[in-house]
Amino acid sequence: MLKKISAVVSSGIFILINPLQAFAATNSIDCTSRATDSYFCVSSFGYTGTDPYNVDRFVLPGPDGHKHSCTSFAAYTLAMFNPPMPAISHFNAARSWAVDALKVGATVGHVPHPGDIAQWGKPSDLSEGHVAYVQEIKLDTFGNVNAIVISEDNGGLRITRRKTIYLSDTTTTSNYLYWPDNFISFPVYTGGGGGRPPVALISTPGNN
Amino acid sequence: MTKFISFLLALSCVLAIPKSSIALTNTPNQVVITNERSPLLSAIPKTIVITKHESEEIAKAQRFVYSEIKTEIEHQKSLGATKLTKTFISEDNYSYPDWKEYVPEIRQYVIKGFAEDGKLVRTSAPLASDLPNLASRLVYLEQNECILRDFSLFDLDTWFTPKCHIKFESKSDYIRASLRTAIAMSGLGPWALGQTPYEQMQDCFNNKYSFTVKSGYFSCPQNVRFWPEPSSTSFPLILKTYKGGYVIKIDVKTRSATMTYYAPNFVEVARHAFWSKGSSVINFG
Repeated sequence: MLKKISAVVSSGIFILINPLQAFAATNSIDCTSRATDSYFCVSSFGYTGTDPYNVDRFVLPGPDGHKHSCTSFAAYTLAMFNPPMPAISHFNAARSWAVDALKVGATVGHVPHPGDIAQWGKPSDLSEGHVAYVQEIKLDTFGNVNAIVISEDNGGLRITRRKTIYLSDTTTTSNYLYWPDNFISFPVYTGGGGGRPPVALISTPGNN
Repeated sequence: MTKFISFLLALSCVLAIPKSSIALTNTPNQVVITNERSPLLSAIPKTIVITKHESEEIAKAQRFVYSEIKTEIEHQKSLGATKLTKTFISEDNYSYPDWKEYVPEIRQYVIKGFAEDGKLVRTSAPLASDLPNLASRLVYLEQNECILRDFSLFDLDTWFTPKCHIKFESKSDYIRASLRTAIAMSGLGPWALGQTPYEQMQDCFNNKYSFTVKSGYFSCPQNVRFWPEPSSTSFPLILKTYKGGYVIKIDVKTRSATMTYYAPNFVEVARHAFWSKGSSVINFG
């Protein structure tokens, strides 16, 4: 109990002493690939425009024969880390993923988990919306979600990126550099063996 | 002690709201799109002529849908079905408020097979399988109720119930519906082309960054925070391509802008039709 009180008091004092530092965290694009190495930021996933579910079937590959799209990368991570879900092949554009995902037994909410698909947009939107892979969840000193680290592909720009997005930073409203509308938790492998754990983690201020 | 902790928490809540976010929340929309939801932007003309190239590509897509239905019917037959019924599934599809302009029915359906004794043999998965692809509704089981046997004088059912038949709507209809899908699902049309310029202007105006309008280009170097991609902090004020475009008018004094979208040249886009292998989809290069 004393420890808890001490943590609350100390974080409060920290805020009083240096409020700017305490809340200076802003959304950032931590990695942007170049056109000459357009999959660089997600190279750890082994992704090179592979689209195992052909979810990005409405777009032709580029002149180099490779695909770039947020949905193909999200579907690629799902094919890697989650059980097979053939219905993904018939998903709509990214704006509708939060609705489509319910058909494959996913849960949709506003709290991120490692390995979730972050989603922006709603079905009635005119733009295509966006999806990205939640690679890391950052917690604050109280154990609450503070930020997410996402990896993504971008069909329009034909590049991959990694971003850190803070729950408290509402200063950015573009380029999908703001808190997602939904987090989609797709079914995972259960029981012994059979699946690979997602390359995602939870980090606290102590292990950042 | 408790009061002191409460005070600290309350104070931290006040401090936690960044000033810039308060400013942004109260900032009016500085960029107005004059015709964002105009039906004219996505209305596919009925005058699209099919050349040999498009005809061949469409035939491949049609065959894919045909094969799905044919395989299902053959499967039902092998399980002993002699009569089929078609039942539509209620399914919302927000992407196509204007679907009646392109397909006779947007809903998917299931085929139920019944044996001679009237017993249900099997219910199919929803057809056509690719719900978001509007054109896939243009090849379908024609009848709501049909039999799998040929006409026979001695079989009363064959007198009054039609034989099952898979219907193909025209290739011209197929390409029109495919173009409509390309607008809803891919980068075709002004919405995709105009999104980045729209967002960049909003960022620049709302954050009170300095910008220039020179030689037909809008440039806002400080936007690099949100748009770090090389040379992506400026864009042309007029963009007209066969895939759509826009015209932007900037009011420097009020730091605001209006955008007007242009529809694609659908006749030209149709010339770039390609079948997406293993699907019912026609893409446009």
